[in-house]
Amino acid sequence: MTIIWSNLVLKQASNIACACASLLLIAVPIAESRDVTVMVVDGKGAPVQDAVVTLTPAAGGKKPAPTNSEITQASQEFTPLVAIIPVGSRVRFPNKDNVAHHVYSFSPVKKFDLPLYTGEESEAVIFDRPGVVKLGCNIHDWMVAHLFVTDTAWFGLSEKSGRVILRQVPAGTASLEIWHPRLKGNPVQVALAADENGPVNVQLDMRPDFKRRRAPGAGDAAGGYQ
Amino acid sequence: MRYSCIAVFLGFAFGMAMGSASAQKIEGPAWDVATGFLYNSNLSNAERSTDVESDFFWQMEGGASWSRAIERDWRLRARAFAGGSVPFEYEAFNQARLGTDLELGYKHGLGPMAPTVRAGLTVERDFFEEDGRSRWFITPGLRARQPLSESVGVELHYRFDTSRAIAPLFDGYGNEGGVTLTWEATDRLSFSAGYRARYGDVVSYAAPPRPDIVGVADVIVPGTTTFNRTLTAYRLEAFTQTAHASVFFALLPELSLAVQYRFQHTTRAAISYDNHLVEFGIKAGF
Repeated sequence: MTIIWSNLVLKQASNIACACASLLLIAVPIAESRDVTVMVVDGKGAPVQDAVVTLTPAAGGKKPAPTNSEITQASQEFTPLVAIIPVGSRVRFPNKDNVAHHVYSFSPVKKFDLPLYTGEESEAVIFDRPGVVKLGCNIHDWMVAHLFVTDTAWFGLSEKSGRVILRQVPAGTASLEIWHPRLKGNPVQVALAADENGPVNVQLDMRPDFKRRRAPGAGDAAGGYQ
Repeated sequence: MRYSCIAVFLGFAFGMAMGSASAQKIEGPAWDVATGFLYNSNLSNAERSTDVESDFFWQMEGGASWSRAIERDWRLRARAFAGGSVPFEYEAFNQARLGTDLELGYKHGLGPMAPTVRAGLTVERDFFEEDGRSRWFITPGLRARQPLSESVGVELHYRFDTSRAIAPLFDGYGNEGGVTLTWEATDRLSFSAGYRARYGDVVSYAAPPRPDIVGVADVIVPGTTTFNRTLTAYRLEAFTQTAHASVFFALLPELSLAVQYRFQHTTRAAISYDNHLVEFGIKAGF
C-alpha cells in the first residue's frame, strides 16, 4: 500500500493582513500490484519445464476472461503438450498432419471425443469447469497433452529454467498452486505472504519421464493402435 | 496356382495402397528395418546329440507399411517386406524372402487401455539355397491385446500356418496359440515373456536306423546332405511348446536393441528334441 500525499495547498494573499494557510492532507489508498516469481525444481534440484503455477489472492480477485485457443496436431504430436486456459475458454484442435486423428478426453472435468478427422477445421470444445484435462489420440497412443483449466486470472507455465513470473498480482496474501503432468499426488499449495514477491522456490516430487515409445519394443502393439 | 493368385491379389492391394500413400487419411509409408544374429542350438531338430547341428545366422528384414483408420474403431494395415538370412555354416539355409501382411484391427473403446483385436494374413515367398525348401508360406491369424495398466499388457494369439514347398518334405501346416506379457518398464526399457504351443509339421534329421521316427513320419527322405553329412530327413507331426523372453532397449526414439531367447521343446510319441534360440539385433522404425 502506498500513501500519496496528494495535495498540499497553501494560498497566500498579500493584501490580507492575516495570512491564512490551509493545509489539506488527504491519504488515498490505491491497490498496488506486484510481480511474483516462482522457481520450480524437481527432487534433484533440476529445473522443471511446463509446470502450471496459479495464484489465487486471499481477497479474491477478478475472474479471467475466456479465450479462444488451439492445440494443434503436427507430426503426430500435440503442440503444446501443456496449456493453461481460463474457465469457459474454447479450444480447437486443428490437424496439420495428412492422417486422421481422434482426439478424446476421459477426464471428469471434460469428457469428449472428436472422432477421426483431418484438416485444420475442427469443432471447438468449451471447457467450463476448472481442473486438469488429459488429452489423447485414439489412433496414436503416444500422443498425450494436458489442459489446465483455471478460474484465476494469475497463472503461468514454467520456462525451461523452471521460472514463472506472475505479473500484476494484487497486494495481499495469496495462495499458489503448482501442478505438473508428472507430479506425484495432488497439486502443491504454497501460501504467499502479503509482501512476498519471490522468488518462491517450489520442489516437486516427480514421476519418471514415461512417454509411450514409438521405437520398436516389447510387442508391436506398444506403439499405438496402428 | 491358388497361392499365386493370392499373392497377385495382395500385390495389387499394395499397389493401390502405395499409389494412394499421399492421399489423406492413409498413414505411411512407415519404414522398419531389423538386423541381427540368431543362434539355433539344434538346427537339425535332432533328438540324439550325435545328430544335432547348430548354426549362427545373420538375418535382416526391411518393410514399409501403410495404415488407415477406416472407421471410428477399425483400422486397416498393410505391409510389404523383404528379408533374408545367411547361415555361417550350412548354406542350404541361405534364404531370401518377400512377403506381405494385411491386418484388420478393431479397438473396443477409446484410449491406450482399450482392448484390441487384429485379424491378419501373411503371405510370404521364401527362396532357399537348397531348392527343395523354397516355398509359399501363408499364415492367417488372430491377435487380441488387453492392456492391464499404462505399461503392462497381455496378448493372446492364434495362427494357422501352411507351407507349400518344392519338395514335399517341406510341405506342412501348423496350428499355434500363445500368450505374451509385455512390460514397458521405462520410456526406454521394455520386456516381454510368453508361452506358445504349436501342433503341426516339423522336419527332423537323424542318422538311420530310426524305426521310432519311421513309425510316425509322413515323409522320409534318406541320404540328405543338408548338414554336410548324410542324414535321413523325416517330416512328422509334432507338438512344440515354446517359452520366450525378450528385452528391448530404445537407443533413440526410432531405434531399439533387442535380445530374445526362446526355448522350444518338441515331442511326438516317445521322440523329443529341444532347441535353444538366441537372437540379438537392432530394430528401427521411422
